[in-house]
Amino acid sequence: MKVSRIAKATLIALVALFLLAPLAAQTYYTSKAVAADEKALLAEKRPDFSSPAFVDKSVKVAGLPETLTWYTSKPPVMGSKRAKAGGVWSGYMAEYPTTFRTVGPNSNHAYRSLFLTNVGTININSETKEWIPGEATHWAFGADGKTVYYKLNPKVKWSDGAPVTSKDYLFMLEFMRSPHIQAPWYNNYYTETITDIKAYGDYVIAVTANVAMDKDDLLYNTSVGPRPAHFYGGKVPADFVEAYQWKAEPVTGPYKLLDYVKGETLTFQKVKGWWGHEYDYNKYRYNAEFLEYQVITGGNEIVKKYFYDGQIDQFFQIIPTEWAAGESAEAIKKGWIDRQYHFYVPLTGVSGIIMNTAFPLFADKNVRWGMYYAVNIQKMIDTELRGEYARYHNIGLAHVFGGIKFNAEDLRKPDFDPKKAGEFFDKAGYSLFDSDGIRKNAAGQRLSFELLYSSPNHTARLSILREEAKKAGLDMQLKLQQTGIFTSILEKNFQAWWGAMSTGLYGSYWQYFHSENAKPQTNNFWSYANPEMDKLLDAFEAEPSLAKKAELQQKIERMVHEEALVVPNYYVPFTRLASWKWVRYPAWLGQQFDDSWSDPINGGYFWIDEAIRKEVLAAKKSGQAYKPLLIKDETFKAK
Amino acid sequence: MKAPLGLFRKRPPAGDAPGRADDRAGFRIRVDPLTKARIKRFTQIKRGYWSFIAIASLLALSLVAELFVNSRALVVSYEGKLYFPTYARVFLGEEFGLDYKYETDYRVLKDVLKENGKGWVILPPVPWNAYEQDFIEGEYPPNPPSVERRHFLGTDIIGRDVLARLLYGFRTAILFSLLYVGATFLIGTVIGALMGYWGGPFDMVFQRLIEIWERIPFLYVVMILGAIFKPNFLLFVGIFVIFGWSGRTWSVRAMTYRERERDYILAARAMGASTLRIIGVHIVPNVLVVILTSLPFAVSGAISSLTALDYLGFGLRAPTPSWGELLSMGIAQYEAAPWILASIVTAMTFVLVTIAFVGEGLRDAFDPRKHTVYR
Repeated sequence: MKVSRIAKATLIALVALFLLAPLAAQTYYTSKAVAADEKALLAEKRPDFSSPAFVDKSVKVAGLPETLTWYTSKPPVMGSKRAKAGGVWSGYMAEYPTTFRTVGPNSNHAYRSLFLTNVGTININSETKEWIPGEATHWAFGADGKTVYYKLNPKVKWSDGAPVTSKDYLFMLEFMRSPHIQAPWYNNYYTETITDIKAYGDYVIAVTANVAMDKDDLLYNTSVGPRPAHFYGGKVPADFVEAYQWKAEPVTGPYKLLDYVKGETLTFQKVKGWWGHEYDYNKYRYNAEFLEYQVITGGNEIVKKYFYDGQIDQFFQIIPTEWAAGESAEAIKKGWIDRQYHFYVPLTGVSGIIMNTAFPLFADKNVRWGMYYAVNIQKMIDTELRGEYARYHNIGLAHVFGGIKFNAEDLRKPDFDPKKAGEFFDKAGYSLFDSDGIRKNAAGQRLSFELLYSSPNHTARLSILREEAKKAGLDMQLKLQQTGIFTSILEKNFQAWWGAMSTGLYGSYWQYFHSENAKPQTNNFWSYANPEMDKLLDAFEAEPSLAKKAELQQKIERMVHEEALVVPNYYVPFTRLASWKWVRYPAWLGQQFDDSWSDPINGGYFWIDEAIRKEVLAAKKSGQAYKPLLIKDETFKAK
Repeated sequence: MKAPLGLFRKRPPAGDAPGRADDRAGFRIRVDPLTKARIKRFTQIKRGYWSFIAIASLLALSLVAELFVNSRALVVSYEGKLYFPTYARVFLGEEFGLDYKYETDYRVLKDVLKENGKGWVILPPVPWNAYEQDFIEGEYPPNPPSVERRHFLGTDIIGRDVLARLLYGFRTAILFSLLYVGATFLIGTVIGALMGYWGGPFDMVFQRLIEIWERIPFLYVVMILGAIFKPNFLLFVGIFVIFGWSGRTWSVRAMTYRERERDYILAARAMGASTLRIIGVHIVPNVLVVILTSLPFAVSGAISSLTALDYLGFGLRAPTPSWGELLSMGIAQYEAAPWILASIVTAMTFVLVTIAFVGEGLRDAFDPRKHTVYR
């Protein structure tokens, strides 16, 4: 048969078109349950999470020593109405807990919170930082400024079914003060700070602090939780530390320990008919029926393999290179794994290059100011961190409490400028150049210091700073010390430290900058002493009013900026992770100050859709590709 | 292969006035016929010989690596004056009319001078050093090999040239292992020979000492010392030597034990030769074979050890270019940047195999069965 060339070409073109058409049109596979939930997801709107406290005049409690004004708040539904109850969530632990106790020796391990899933007497709203009810429905302030009355919710039950009453609070105080728990910090706190707890009937308690404080501070300090008196037979066992080593205490929270294989797994189960769903804000939360944790050692690379193998459900991809690597993972490209990306305002303390003023070079303020210009944080963020982390300008962030902002938010650190840095170094006397281009002073001392750091995966970032600093004639030696770094820091046995400290609801700068702490074994890493700073810090400590405290804190932050004690580095303004498709999330993911929305116990907003699991596993088996899904919430992205 | 046995049996021609060439030049040291035979034989083992040439030229090349792989220009002609920045002090930008006070970026200077006509610049073939980062607008490192940007082996995760880091890393590794092997063999041979020659209490004390010494966990010591002192090159050589010499004593000691009972030693002793002379002139040359043939394997072993330490993060202080760092980076990034792992693995395999070939060649060349007159 003779076919003309043109006909042949046309035929080939047609066949090619036919074969390529599905690719060009990007038709993705989808399945029933997935399609239904994704439609609902698109329609979902971020709710208003605010929950202002109000006076509840309907509450009357007889038999109290004073007349009280009772406050409460009514937080809205915070979960997603799409949520489905049930299912199994699989997670991991980097190491097995050293004990199931939550106090006493070795109890401060990374997974302590799994055994302390208590609701909290009253809690803080993660979006607005307002107070919301928990084990107590109402709170009221005593006239002395030191006492808070809590009206307990009579529906609260321990996970073993026993009711929670004021006796459990009285027992808690006895427990925390007992020498048998071998926890001096708690012994001290519940003696020195919490001076008394009184019960008025079964469901009202009064907690008294040592000094008069601002109301929000007072609530923060006195909202102590109960301990199950019945579980310990009403008194603290003398052999508590040994006898309760592997016994999980009943909790008031949504999950209780069901089963465990020592050294390998922990399984938690949802408490049957959990009382907490009484509150609107707990509705559609804590959806999974079982939580399974398995020990995976060997670091992130190994965890990643378990994740892509489908053995665990979620995997964090905070580090920019990790997130970028996710783009090319097959399971993500084929849509079996979704990704979630949520911006928030992280509570951040001191973080960056901390300069020890006891080291002669940094005793000179000009050198420290030169450092502002000579350390190219922005380039590090733009390159190694792919522009994803946020530049940090202060020593505190997200210190918002009681409706008051504590941080001097307008503070800005200058941009990298070797010329400007040179001017400051000149002023400090480092105006000559060594043969390798590093500055030195007339006495021949080089403008050189050692930067101590502890994480090997920061080496690449710091190498960028080191190369850039050379342009200002500054020699930054990188000193990696993987173990025992904090001992060196406390001993003030360092020149500069690439480090970070966590922080509380607002700054606690006395420990850092007061001259009284300019000695070894304290947190004044700078060895900094300045009478003016001392005045501010003392005033801050003595001040009961939060509003005035905030003013003082801003002054302190400005002074730290002026004195150039820290070159702040960056903060991570988001949480992001990859999750197998059967882990479903609300469209808004999390709240303004919330970094644990993806956690089953601390957030509990996600749910496991077993129908979707079946569909996805089938699709995976047959190689069908869903449209990749990224849920991104930028409501709180810094401008 | 047939060994040139004839050479060994031949006596030097007598009465060849006025003396042989080396005598005339005033040399007393001459290459004895046996050694000559061994060298000749080594050159005949082609694989070992060419490997030796390769590794030696690579070493020579790395010693002057600054001329080939460097951010500093070879020659700058500026306003009629010539500058040779390679081995000179740092020239600040303002010295060439640029507006900054840090080291001149010669790659930029080249373009600037071309434009304003004030001179010219000759750059090395790879105009990058092992530290500087090359960030390309809109892209994130690691960047694949690019002839245009002169990253012939690409860049690492923060944009440093892989070839530069490979070459300078090689220099560090090979110098380290040569120094280490040299020092440990010197100490090990001297002590081993003395142990074997003197025997008795001296031997006993050192044997026990070495046994204890070798039980000290080396890795922990490196970690501890690295935390206390600045882990620089010499400290590392020092630590390795302190823990490495003892292993070298055993074979020398055993060989010496055997040799000292031989008649020629007895003869030398009878003639009143000192201990130093007997060990130095009679024993060491005869046990040298053992040392020499194990030398290349010790060198490659040392390179591997240093790489392993760097890989584990206990090596030289960052950002010193090192093979261990490249290896760990390459493994972590093998999907995103296969060129890093490919480069380092190729380089390591090449160097280690080459050294092993040299060792093999030496061993064959020194094989006593090929030379001995005793049958």
